[in-house]
Amino acid sequence: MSHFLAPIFAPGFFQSEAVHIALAVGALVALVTGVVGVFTVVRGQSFAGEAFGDLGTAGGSGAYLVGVGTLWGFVLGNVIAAGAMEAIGVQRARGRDLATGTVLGAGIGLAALFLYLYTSEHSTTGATVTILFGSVFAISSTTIPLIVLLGALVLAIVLTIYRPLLLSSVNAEIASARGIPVRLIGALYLLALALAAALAAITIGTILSTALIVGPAASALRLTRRPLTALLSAACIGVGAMWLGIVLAYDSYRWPPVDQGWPVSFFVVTLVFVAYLLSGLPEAKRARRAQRRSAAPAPARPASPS
Amino acid sequence: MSSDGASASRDVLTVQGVSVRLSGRTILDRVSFRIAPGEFTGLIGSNGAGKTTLFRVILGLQAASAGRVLAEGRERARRHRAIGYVPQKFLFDPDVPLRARDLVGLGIDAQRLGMPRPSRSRRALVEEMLDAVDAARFADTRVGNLSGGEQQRILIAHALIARPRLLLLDEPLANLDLGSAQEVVALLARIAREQEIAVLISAHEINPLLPVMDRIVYLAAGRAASGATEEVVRPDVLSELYGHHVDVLHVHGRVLIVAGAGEDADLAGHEGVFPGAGFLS
Amino acid sequence: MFSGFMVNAWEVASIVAVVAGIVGFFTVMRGSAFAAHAIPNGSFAGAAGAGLVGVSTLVGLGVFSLGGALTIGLLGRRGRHDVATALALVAMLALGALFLSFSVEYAPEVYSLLFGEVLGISPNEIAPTAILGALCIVATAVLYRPLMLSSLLPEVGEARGISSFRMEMLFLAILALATTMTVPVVGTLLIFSLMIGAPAAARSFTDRPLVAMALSVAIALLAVWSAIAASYETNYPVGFFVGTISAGAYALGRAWAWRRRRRGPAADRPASPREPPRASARLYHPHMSDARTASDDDWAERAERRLAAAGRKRGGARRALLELLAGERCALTAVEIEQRLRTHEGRAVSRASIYRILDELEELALVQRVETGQAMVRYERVCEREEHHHHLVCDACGLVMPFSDPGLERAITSLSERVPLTVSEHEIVLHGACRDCAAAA
Repeated sequence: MSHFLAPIFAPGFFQSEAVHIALAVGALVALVTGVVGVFTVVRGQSFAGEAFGDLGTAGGSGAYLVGVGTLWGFVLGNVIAAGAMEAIGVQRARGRDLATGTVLGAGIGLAALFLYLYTSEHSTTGATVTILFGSVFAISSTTIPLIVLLGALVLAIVLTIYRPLLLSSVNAEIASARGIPVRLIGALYLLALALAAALAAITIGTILSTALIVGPAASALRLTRRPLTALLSAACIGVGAMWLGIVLAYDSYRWPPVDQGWPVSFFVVTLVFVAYLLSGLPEAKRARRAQRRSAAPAPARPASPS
Repeated sequence: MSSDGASASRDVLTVQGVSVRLSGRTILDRVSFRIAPGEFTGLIGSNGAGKTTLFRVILGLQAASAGRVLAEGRERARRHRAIGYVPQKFLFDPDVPLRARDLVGLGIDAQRLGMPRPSRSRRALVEEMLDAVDAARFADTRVGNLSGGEQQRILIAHALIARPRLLLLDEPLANLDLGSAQEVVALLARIAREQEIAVLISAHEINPLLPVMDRIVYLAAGRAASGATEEVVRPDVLSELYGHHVDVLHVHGRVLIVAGAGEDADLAGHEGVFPGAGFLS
Repeated sequence: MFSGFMVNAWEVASIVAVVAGIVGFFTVMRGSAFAAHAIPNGSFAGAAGAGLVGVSTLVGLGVFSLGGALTIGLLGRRGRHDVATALALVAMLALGALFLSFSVEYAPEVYSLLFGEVLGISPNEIAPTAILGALCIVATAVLYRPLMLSSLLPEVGEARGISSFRMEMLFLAILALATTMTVPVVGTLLIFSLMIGAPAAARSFTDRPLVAMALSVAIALLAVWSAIAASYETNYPVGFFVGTISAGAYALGRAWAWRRRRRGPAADRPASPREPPRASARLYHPHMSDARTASDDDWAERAERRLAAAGRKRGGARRALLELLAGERCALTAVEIEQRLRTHEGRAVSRASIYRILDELEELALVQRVETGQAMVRYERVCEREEHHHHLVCDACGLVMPFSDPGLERAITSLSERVPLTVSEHEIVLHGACRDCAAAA
């Protein structure tokens, strides 16, 4: 059996502790980001998700500077950023991108400063690459409890506010007519997104973290219109991409051009992107069959409550 | 010039048997009508009757499954300078740095490349259009800060400045209060009369247009009846159009179109007088 | 500060600022902030790859930023635009991570690509930067009018033969071009803050499009010049200063716009005698549901203008109440307002003040009373552009729900014609038991 699977699973794959951690943590993070991501896409807040990724850079490099774990930096940086965005008015559609962008620009400036200070103090530049392009293989076993805790917290938030969140994401007007505190729900959701982005950042690096949040969710929403099915399929796509990415990255140690392995984040993100492209096929086929496609600019509709 | 016969080339717009089917659903079914220069035509229909689709076909933004549209006797209305278009209710962002007069000026030659060269004739033309829609008072205000009725006028001026022969307005009266709606209708009627510009205006409410309409195109479930108002707004014509019995009541110069005794739920939702279809929650 | 290598820095940075100011004007106008972030950021991969293959960084940047722009445009045509942008971005960055892992000891260059290295610019970079910059400006000037119309009123543009899709692609291409030339100077991450901060700030200061564009260039120039000077003095990275100064300019612009609004309608526009304080009857319009936030903001803005015009001072309590009402769809009692202020905004306002403020607002026709026949009077905001609605009241539990119906409005309009009264307003309250109460009974 193992002999038969040898071309797929390189020797030592199932024995390595780093792989065990990567598989477990990766699955947890992909699950959390998949669930949160569905709402990110429905609410049209991909840019905020992306901003959290990059703002995590400031938090992570700040953490390096003072010498605490990077995950703490990601979490703290993102929560502060979520507060700033909420205060400037991310909940309003108008000017939302500008509010996000301004916070993002200032945050990146800060990241530049922190990284510069760290580099000039320690005369090593490793921090830049580690933070920006992190690796799921590099997660130490001591951070696992914190990751599990944060993951559970995010899931708890999202599942608690699931129904009001879904309604206010699809139609804020109806939601507030029903007495749902739309703004509070939005703020709680932003917090969940900030934490999920921090988790994604520790797994595949700040600069790529958006992929885990937006990618699986966007693919799932192209495949199904039911919210619960979308949550489940987003989680599945995310976990699948994560695991397959880990396997490929482990295999790639035997690949050219250098004998040091391709980055796992590259595989994960590429697989997510491919999943998104493939998820458009059923609809494209349907559209071609309908043949009068040119007429209706039919954008992929987000899930509607069933 | 045209091979389409004398009558078609005299008309500003000729719609001949236009059908549109989208993913198996028939949106428009053999719609035909024509508009002569300077004529004021109302395109009346409830929401979902196909008004916007018909406009898109006329503007060349939507291919018809069958039939054709001639603007001044020629096909391909798109890029046709003869048609000015005022889109459905549009709220400008108050952050956009653009004055009302800038938006009107953009109407002169927006499709041209290169920067606009300021000139006296340009300025005079913009002033003239602002006066024509009675908008000189707020010419230097940001468009985003104008009220809905004021933005509507600016958009009309924006369309008029290109000297079209036909002005197409998509639901311009929706969500204007009655006073503003009457002013906009009066303005359009004056433009049609004085400048010989034909006006085609879509609305789901017939009454504000009654005093000024030369001709009506009544759209229901994708099919159209057209002609003079009194020829179309009749129980027999409308009942056939709807496929249900429909009553037309005349009350103090206003028209009320109501579903008849054996009314259908759908119909009541569109045109009935009983509440029930429009719940917000 | 103005010697040797610094002269190059000043020159190149100035070119970059001019281009960022001009291209950024349309970026903000079109709401393409995300694309303006994604294209430069993703083009980082190109720079990393170029080092690997051994071609010039500029070529790598150019290929990847153009490729990214095309991907965003094409994917965005069928799917959600923000999703397409995010995915195109991460796909490029993933390639960047791959290229990076192939090359050894690349970290310092990663840093300078991401955060810029304006002080290290060599003289032979000036010519390509200037040429690409000129190309960007010329392209923007050539497309000025159609791009403007397409950004403002895409449907009208389409009707005039200006394809929105083509405009989007052309604009993204310009953005890619601007990226290619600016990235080596300010870095992939920071060109963005220059391209958003400066034009977003500029449009708070003027109503004229061309003046706003010029102002945007001026602010961008000011930002890079002071950033270089500060960086030279402190040795801190230029990117830090560019980011902070741009954000500061934006904040300043918002503050200015806020002050201008506060000065009231007289300063902003001539007083309009026609604008009715209270619309007599509003036609039902189902399309407004998408524009909810816009009309909410309208109400809040109008309220502030009118209060300022009436010479009322701004109080914290009134501000909180305005905010609350702006977000409320339906009528509230004073007690409910008090409770919500406490729970949502964490603010205790005495009931007496609430009634006083509500009276003021009613006087200015900003809120209206709704008599629901319950023990307490309810208040709701008066909206001009928004759907006119009536109320359903459950007599058992006191629930109030808004409803609207076009047929009802027409019937009332028609009735109004026949009664011996000039009808100026109407409100309808239907009493009964809500579904839950009916079920419980």
